[in-house]
Order: sequence, then structure tokens, then C-alpha cells
Amino acid sequence: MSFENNVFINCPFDKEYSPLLRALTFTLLYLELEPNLSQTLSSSSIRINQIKEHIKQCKFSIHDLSRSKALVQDELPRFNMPFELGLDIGAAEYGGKKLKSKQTLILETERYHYQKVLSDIAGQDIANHNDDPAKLSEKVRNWISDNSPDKIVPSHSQIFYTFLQFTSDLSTNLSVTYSEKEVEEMPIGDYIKFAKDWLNEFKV
Amino acid sequence: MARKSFYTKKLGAAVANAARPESSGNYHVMSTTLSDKWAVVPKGTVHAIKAFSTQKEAVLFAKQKASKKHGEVVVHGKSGLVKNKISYAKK
Repeated sequence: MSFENNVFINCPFDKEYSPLLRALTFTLLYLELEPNLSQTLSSSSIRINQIKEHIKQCKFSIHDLSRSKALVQDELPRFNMPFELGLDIGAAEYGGKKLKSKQTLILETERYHYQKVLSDIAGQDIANHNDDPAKLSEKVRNWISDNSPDKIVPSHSQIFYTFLQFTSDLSTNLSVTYSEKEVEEMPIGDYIKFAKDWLNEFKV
Repeated sequence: MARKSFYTKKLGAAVANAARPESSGNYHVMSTTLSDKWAVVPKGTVHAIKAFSTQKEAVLFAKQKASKKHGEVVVHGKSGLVKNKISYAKK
């Protein structure tokens, strides 16, 4: 897909985040945008080079910093995501003309959390999702709409009703071949392929 | 260890086949995201045909519709996960 339709997703890939990531990628696919995730690339090249390539190729970027803090006592916060956000903002600031058109959305769990610990991001588009897939999908849909003046963006209800139907169809049809746990833990790259096939039929 | 590949073209086609709009009387009961209501949405469409204050009322309505056409009701919880399926298919 073209630069205009590519979306770089910088987020956790753990099991707990999976329902949010599925809602996020499905919302983007419904809006005919292409999610770009480092997890879907070959593991042979160095991860940071893959990320730099994504940043160069995507007009839109979504950075979820909700896991960049210790979730339990004595756990260390994860700094990869704020680091990648910095790279992305740097590319928009110091890159060529095309990269200056980049749009960035920062997601967090609770409102204003990040402004307290990373005050330099004030002024960016920041939204909170309360760890709720529906809320996340709505915030992303609204942000895409705000930044796509020439595009007619479907309502959030329409996108989310469709997402739930896909969720049901996916688990029903894969239950013959895979266990419920396997379907839940399916790599996001496979999930995206199933969603694309399904949406092609649904939108006919 | 090589990562297990889930997706195959055959499985993708099977999942996609389920997306086709049909008049088979299948309904989804879902929580609406903007108002605190429960919507009944026919499978393969993007619009609710009716919304209710409680999930119980929505399920009852969907069951009435599905039973007339020997269809199915898929009940989603607040989080969106499938909680229950009620089938009225002819045996």
C-alpha cells in the first residue's frame, strides 16, 4: 500500500494486550488502511532497522504507551515504545517533505497519565482507551476521520458491530482445526490475513 | 523453532465464507458503544434493527426473530467476546 494508507503501530505484543491489538488492526483494515507492525516482519533483520523502515513508509503512526510503566510492583517499565515514538517524531521533524505530513496518535490507558511523566509530548494527539477494545477502536476511528478530510469514515458502531461478527466467525470456523487457546494466541500477522479475507467478502 | 503458521488460503476462505450476508435469520446481540444499550444486529449487516436497555430483553427479541427462520443467536458480552450461542436450526 502507499505511504498515505500505511499505519505504523508501536505497541506491546503480549497476551494481555492482544484484544486491544485485534480491535485496533481490524478498525484500520475496515477503514482500508494497512497496519504495519514490527512483529509481522521477518526476524532475520535487526528490529530497529525494521522500525525505521516502517516509520519511513507510514503516514500515520499509533503509539500505545499504556504498558510503558511497571504494571506490578518490582517490575521494570518498558522503554522501547517511548523510544520508537521519539524516532517517529524525529522523522517528522527532520525528514523530507513527505515525512513532514506524518500524523501521530499516542494512546494511553488513563487520561493525562503520560503528560505527567513525559511532559515533552504535550501538544501531540493523545487519547486514552481504559484498556477497552471498543473505546480504543472509537478513538482511532475518530482520529483517522479528523486527519482524513477527503475521506468518508464509517461510524464507530458500524465498525465495531462488524468487528464482533468477525470475532465470532473466526472462532467458529477455526474451532475445528485449532483449540480456543491457539486461536486466542494466534500471531497478529495471521489474524490480519484472516481479517482481510473476511472483510473482502463482507464488503461485497 | 519455526513459528506455527495458522493462516492458509483454505482456512481464510472458510472464515471469509461466513461473512456473506444472508437471510438465514442469524442475529448478534451486542453492547452498543456510545449509549449504554444492547443492540440486535442481523448477521452480515452493520446496523442494529433494535436496541434495548438490558441484554435480557435484546436476547429475547433476537430469539423470537431467529426461531421463526431456524437461525442462530450469538450473544456477545460487554467486552465483545462470545458468551453464548443459541441455535434454532432444523434437526
